[in-house]
Amino acid sequence: MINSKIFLRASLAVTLAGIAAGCTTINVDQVRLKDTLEWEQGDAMVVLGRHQTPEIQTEASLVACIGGKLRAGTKNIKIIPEPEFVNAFYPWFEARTAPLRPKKLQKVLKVPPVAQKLKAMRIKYFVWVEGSTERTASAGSMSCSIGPGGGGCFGFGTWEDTSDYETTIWDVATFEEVGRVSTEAVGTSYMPAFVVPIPLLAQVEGDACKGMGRQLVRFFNKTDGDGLKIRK
Amino acid sequence: MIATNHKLSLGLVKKLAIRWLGLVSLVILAGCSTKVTVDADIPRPLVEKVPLNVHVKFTDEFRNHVYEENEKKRSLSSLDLAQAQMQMFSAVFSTLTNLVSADDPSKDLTVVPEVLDFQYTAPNETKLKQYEIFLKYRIKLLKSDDSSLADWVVKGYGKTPTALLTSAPQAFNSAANVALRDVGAQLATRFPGQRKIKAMIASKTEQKEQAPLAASVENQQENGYAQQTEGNQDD
Repeated sequence: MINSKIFLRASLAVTLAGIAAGCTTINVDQVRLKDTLEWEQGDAMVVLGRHQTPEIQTEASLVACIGGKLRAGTKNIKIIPEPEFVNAFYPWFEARTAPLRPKKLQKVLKVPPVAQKLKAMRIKYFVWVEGSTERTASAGSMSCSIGPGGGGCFGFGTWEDTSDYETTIWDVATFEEVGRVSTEAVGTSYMPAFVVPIPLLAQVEGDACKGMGRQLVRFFNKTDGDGLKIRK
Repeated sequence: MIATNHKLSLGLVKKLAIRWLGLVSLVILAGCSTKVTVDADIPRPLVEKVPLNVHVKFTDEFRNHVYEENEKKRSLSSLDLAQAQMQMFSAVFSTLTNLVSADDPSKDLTVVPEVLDFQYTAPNETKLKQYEIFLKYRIKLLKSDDSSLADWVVKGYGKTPTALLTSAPQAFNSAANVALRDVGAQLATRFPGQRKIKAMIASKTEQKEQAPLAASVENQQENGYAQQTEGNQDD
């Protein structure tokens, strides 16, 4: 009888949590500053994360994820992975030395070996990603115990993660910003525990990557539809 | 049905207990202080060579630099940075300048790096999910006659976020590499712009430019003298 009650409660908790799990709200905004983006077969683009201060530390996993989405969504464009690019151009794109504005990039490209390598790699655009995913709220409690006869956890925990990212696209030919895509994603995760904790996680960073990646693919393929802002 | 579930849950509990024991032992092991030898992974900088012949002198103290932790409660017991920092300095200066031996007569400058400070933090100390390393070097720049030209202090900072299945030694190694890269980046980008180095490069370039001019003047003078002599002989 007690067992059945406990199971009932547990299944209710799991069902309730399951209904709400994975709920992530995403907002994606885009500004296009240049109407035409010129590409030739074999041209390349690099996606880089911002790390200029200890507070601004864009996750490498997100940068790699956005690179993957662009690789999958664009044709005939090579997407250079961040570690490969940063090592090839060491020391010009380190946390302390990376240019923060397109005009600073122009200054970096005045260094002949840098300009030569960039030309050789046919890099046309820089995609800079800045932001992070942080825990913004948490509630509930859970206690776990372990003994000679076994162990288990009881309780319920919930937390909210918020991703806030902004990508800036630079044109290497003109040293100008050509577009901006920003994403805000908020997701709540749940962890009911009855002997075994059942994590029902909202993939906030992953969802932010999907949203941003999709929009960047549209941006580069020029399929971003109506409502885009064009400044001339 | 309930009985079957009960049996199942008992089995699960046992499995969980074994897993937790494993996890607890991992946590205990992670809590122990560790010895780390940093394995450097610093790429060669993409910079233009400056026209200076430089000898990089690694003192015995620098060659054998190992950070030893005195506090037993801290995460590290020792961190051996010796090879890694020598590799970084060699990579930077061999790309940036012409490396020469100590007794080379064409030597313009001697670079003597010295470790001024080393600090670190681990997640169990800061409650932040990251390992951090801070490095501070004094770089003595000596003229060809070994008299002092300048002292240059360079600081480097590196951090690694904690990640699943990343051990403390791996994380410290990674943070130390980031800090060394930071120091290397500053050396590679700022060395040619250092006031006294800039003056030295300018003076050497000027000397180089003047050398062919002086040689041609000398040649002209010699030719003139020869012509004069020839003329005199003709007379």
